[in-house]
Amino acid sequence: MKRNKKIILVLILVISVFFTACVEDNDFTVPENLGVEENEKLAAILDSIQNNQLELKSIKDLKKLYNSGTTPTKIVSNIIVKGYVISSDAKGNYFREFYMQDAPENPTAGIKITINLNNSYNKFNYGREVYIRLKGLYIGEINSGDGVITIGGKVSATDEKEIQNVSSKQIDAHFYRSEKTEIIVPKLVSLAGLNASDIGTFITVTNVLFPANLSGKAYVDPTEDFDTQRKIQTCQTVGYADLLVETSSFASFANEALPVGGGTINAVVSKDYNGSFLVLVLNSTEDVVMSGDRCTTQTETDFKTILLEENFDTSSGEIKVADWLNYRQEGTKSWRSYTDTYSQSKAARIGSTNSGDASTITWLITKGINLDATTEEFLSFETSNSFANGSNLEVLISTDWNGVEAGVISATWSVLPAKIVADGEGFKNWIHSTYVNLSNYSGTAFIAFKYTGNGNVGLDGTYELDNITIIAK
Amino acid sequence: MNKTIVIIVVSLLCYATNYSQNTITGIVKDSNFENPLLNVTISFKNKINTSKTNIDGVFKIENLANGKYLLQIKFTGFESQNFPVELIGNTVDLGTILLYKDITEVLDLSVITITDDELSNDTSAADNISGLLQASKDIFLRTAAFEFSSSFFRIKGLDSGNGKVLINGIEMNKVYDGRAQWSNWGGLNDVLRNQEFSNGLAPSNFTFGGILGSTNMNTRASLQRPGTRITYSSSNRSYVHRVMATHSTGASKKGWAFTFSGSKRVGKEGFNEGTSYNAYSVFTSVEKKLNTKHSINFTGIFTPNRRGKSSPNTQEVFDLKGIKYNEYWGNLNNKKLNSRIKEVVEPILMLSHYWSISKRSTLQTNASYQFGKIGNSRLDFNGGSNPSPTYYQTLPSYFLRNNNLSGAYTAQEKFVNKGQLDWVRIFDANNTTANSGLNNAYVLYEDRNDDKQITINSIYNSEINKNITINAKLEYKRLRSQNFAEVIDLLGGESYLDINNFADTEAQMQNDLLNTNRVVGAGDRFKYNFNLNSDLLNAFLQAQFKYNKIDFYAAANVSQIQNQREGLYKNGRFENTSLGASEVVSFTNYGVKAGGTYKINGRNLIDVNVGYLTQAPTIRNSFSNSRENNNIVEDLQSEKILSADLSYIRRSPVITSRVTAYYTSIKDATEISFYFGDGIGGDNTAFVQEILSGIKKQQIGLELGLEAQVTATIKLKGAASIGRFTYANNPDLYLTSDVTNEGIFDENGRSGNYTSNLKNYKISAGPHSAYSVGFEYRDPDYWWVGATMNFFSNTYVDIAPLTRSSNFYTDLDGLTFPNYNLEIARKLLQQEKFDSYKVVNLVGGKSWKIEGYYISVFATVNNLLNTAYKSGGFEQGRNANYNELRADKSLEKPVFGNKYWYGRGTTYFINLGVSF
Repeated sequence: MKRNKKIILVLILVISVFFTACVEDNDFTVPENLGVEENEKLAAILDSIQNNQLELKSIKDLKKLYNSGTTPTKIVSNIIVKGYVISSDAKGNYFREFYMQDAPENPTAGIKITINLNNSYNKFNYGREVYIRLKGLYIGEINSGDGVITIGGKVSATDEKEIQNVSSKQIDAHFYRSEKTEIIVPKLVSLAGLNASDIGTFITVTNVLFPANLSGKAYVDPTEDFDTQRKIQTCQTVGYADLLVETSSFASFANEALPVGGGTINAVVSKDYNGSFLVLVLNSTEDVVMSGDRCTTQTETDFKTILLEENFDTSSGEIKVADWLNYRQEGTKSWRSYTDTYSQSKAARIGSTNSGDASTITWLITKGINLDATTEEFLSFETSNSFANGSNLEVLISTDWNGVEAGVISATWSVLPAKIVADGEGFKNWIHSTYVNLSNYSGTAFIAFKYTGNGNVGLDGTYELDNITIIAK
Repeated sequence: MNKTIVIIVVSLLCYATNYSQNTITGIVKDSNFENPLLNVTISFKNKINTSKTNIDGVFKIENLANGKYLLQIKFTGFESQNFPVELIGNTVDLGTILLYKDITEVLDLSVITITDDELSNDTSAADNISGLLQASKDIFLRTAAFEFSSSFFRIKGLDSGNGKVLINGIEMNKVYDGRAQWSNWGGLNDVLRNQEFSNGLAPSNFTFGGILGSTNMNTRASLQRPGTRITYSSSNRSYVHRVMATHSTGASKKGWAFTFSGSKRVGKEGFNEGTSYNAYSVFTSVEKKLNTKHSINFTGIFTPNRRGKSSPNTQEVFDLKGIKYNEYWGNLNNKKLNSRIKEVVEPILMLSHYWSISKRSTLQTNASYQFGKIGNSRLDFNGGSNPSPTYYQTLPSYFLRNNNLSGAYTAQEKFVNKGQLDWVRIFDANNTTANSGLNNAYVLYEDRNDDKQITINSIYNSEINKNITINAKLEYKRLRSQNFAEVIDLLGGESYLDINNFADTEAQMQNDLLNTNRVVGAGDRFKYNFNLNSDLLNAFLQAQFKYNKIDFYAAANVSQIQNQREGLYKNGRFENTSLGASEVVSFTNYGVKAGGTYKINGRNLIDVNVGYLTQAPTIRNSFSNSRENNNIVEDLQSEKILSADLSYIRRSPVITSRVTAYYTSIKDATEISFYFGDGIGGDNTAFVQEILSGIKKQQIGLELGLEAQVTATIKLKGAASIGRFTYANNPDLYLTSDVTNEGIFDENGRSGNYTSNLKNYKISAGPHSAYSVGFEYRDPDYWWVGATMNFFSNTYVDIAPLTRSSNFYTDLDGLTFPNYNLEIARKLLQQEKFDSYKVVNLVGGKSWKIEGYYISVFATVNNLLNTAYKSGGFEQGRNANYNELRADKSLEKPVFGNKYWYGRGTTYFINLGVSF
């Protein structure tokens, strides 16, 4: 019995040792060093920027390293770009990409990043401050010529003008998140005034609505395999300005019905796949608050007075309309008359392609319009283009020009928020400018259409202009 | 050979009054505690008659002719004893015979090693039979258990569900899938030694059994070998350390008997990486003998255990990471943490009443209650990307498919260097989403089965006369099973949204429309939630006849089962069919079997068995998509099984051998599988349930076992199994999915009817052929060594039935693919046959007896030559049609190639035991 007791004692000892020696197979404590390594790396990078070993480049400057339609630019210098994530693929509306802009508020530029990472929202979350060490990466386009400048990981094996995504391995080596997640304040814009420089920024538009004919439809057309574009409009005083909201059929809200009311939409500005036109891309339908009243607008017939009407139908050769000025500030190209093959209508055209000029700046300025006799005035016109990449058309107004050629440069010209045909728009299409409100201007006003080529004549495109009117009451 | 002096205590040697018959009687007891030993074999050298001791240790052999006999008393774990007896028309009472512990009992231990280790190998989906066979003395079956089992070998090519495991006469096979859950009594080897195994159709006193046979484990405290035993083991197979301690009191004078056992098995990882092991076991058995006729025994078994699973992998993965690779683990806080852990906590409480109605009749009544949970953990990621390091889009083959060499290179570099689950990324993702006020990207959860099962039965045994024994049993079983998913840990996040992202509309995304867009946290149920209710009645009757020249038996079994699903969630994809009770699935089944042994003489026997039984489909195969809806498999049938075998057995002083030919046919079987298919009806993809019904299988083969005691110390052993296990018809197939009105799916998400051309394809049932040769040397000095060489061949991959149907060559418009080429198709659909291989195993041990302590040490080395071999595998259902499969197979490295399990390389097991 004594022996047994001793043995049992030993037994209890042995067992208790082993019962406490447990293998921990379910300890899911948050790792203590979560993010520590990344923070250290980022701190080192920020130090290097301080010491000028690395150059912090703005998104705007970075985008200048690449021209649309050319071969991708490989970054070989020690540059870093910083941005704030403005897109989220949590709802599946983005696929292996995200956008970031240069500031949480009032951004001046944004850029797209293509990465081999699904659900990037749980890494590069909305508002997150991200640094990208660019050496070894590429700046270019996913679809050559689409005009959406993008950071990628390599050149496509099948098309040397296109880039492909940053691999998951490259993400680890090039992307650094800071601990900061900022509140993104969407930039207030008008649909009509939106342009290519807004690509990659997060904007808000007020007083928007979906056209009545979309009532009952969903964000995505069930017959579409990939993306669906739905027209969205804001009321101008006269007519509407419109743009497209593009939604992927893989978005979880694809089958959600479009709101029938009016209100606000927050979205990322981008372009459709072919780069033909600007689109708004939603992070989630929480960014669509359109349960208010639909805005209303006046029609053209409400304006009986016509202050200006020019369709160039009587022009030939260089445009010579009475009291108008066709002025070559630089280069040899003037606005010229031509007949559009498709509409069989005459219009005005300008383009510096193959001009041989180092630079082209050409103005077409209307006669003076008296804005004091009426209370409301609206400008409208139509534009079209052919290969307009690299060139630019602006619509300006001046009320202090003295009417002579020599005074053009010194006069005060303001850009009007008119919608001008976008790069990549089909060459057959004529784009309405929307009705541009001139009511805030008084006195005698001159409207100018200013064409700027960039000197790279191989790339300069052509703009066409027609049906300029100013209506008033 | 026995050096220990055989002490024969003949306390009484008197002549009984009846001179007309020759009778030998006696009582066999344990030398240490003098408690009676049950089931001790009493036999004669060169004579057929055998007998066994009853519960009181008493044996009686009657009707013997006059003459000289050599009586042998044998009992596992004890030294055998021989008594020369001369009969001259008298009764010889040998009185109390004390048996002495055999300190060479280590062989018995080797049994324990393998079973304990391999049994609960369900972590790798292996279907292991070794546990069932461990009590067998048949050389073939022992070889199958110890040498073949690690190769996924299956006796007669049959699923383990065809073998019934009983504890105290109560069947422990799970109602859900028909298989025994070995973890429920793992680590209790010392107290589960009292086992009776019936091979194949051979009769058992406790059950009709399955066509593989049955094992009954008796936990009765008074039958436990008294004494204390402590064992320590170490291995690199599954657990690293094991301690076991057992103490049995034997029966006291007041009629009490107690047995306690406890064990602990732990390991950070076994042979496969990250396969953690955490198990402890507690056992108690208390018996009170109320009077000479009645005894009551209580048994309590509690064996909570947690094991990390290991993954099947494609050849591409094995080539890059080796055969120990397991994708399920990752490093977290400097620990290897497995995301897929199987936890089984299902305590068993049993009360048994033993009633000796008369000298010849007993009635045993048992009531058992089992409850608790089985949980299988894994990651869910409806807000994150697939975290699997072997996700096809992360492997080199995916990039090679697109001719992206640099991508393939970086993918390979990343997979080779990292290639494990990235817990830190998972926590970072959840942390990121939480900081943004969003729901989790990832969550760790477990699929749970919380069963409550009550079983009540009565087993009646009666020896009508010296030739006829009757066994009868009535049983009622009631299962209430809750099945659901439950969040284990939010992994650094704060909430998880319970939706299914793959559905189209907001409503369809809901897992429970009664509680839309529910946000769940740790401990909450989500995804699916339903009950399974099952009620089973069973009656069994058997008669066994024993005569001089022939033994035979006949048995019949009738059962009635009712199964029902009860949905607790209103699933958004199955709004009308998910909530509430399903139809009751009800089956009445029967089985009959008969067989006999003809004794040509004492050394040559012929044994034949035939059985026919119908078997209700398991719950698993009754509900086509039980997690989501109440749908019952259409035209659900009972399986019809016909099984027959014929054996020739030869027992000579030198050679013991058996050769058996068998034939089994299973008809109207149903199988359900789940997978993500690419190329379902043209080029559509869908997550589908595949219902294969009316399957006919045929198993035919030979078994051979041979043992030769060539010298007193050397024994040669050999065993062979040569089988052919095939599908014998072309079963019906249909698919269901939550995709409706799209592709091949109608408004109820059901596909059309297909026929799967499976006839003559091989069943994936481990090696169809297995051979073993070996020897054993037992030194008189109590040490011994053994070695075996085992050969395996004809192992086949598990085929995907859908690719053998018309879906394989039919485009969505119902026409054959224009580029379909029969020659190529034949090649594509060829069933993969794995390479043959050989495995060498070693075993050795030594034992001592020091002052009443029995000490034994032994060790085994498995797969000494470190042979790498595929033990099992399956075709991924993903490439469901000709174009998909051809495109994938034409790649140097297929993206969706077959997945395999590899057998273990060289492993060891060391055991140290002390008993007193």
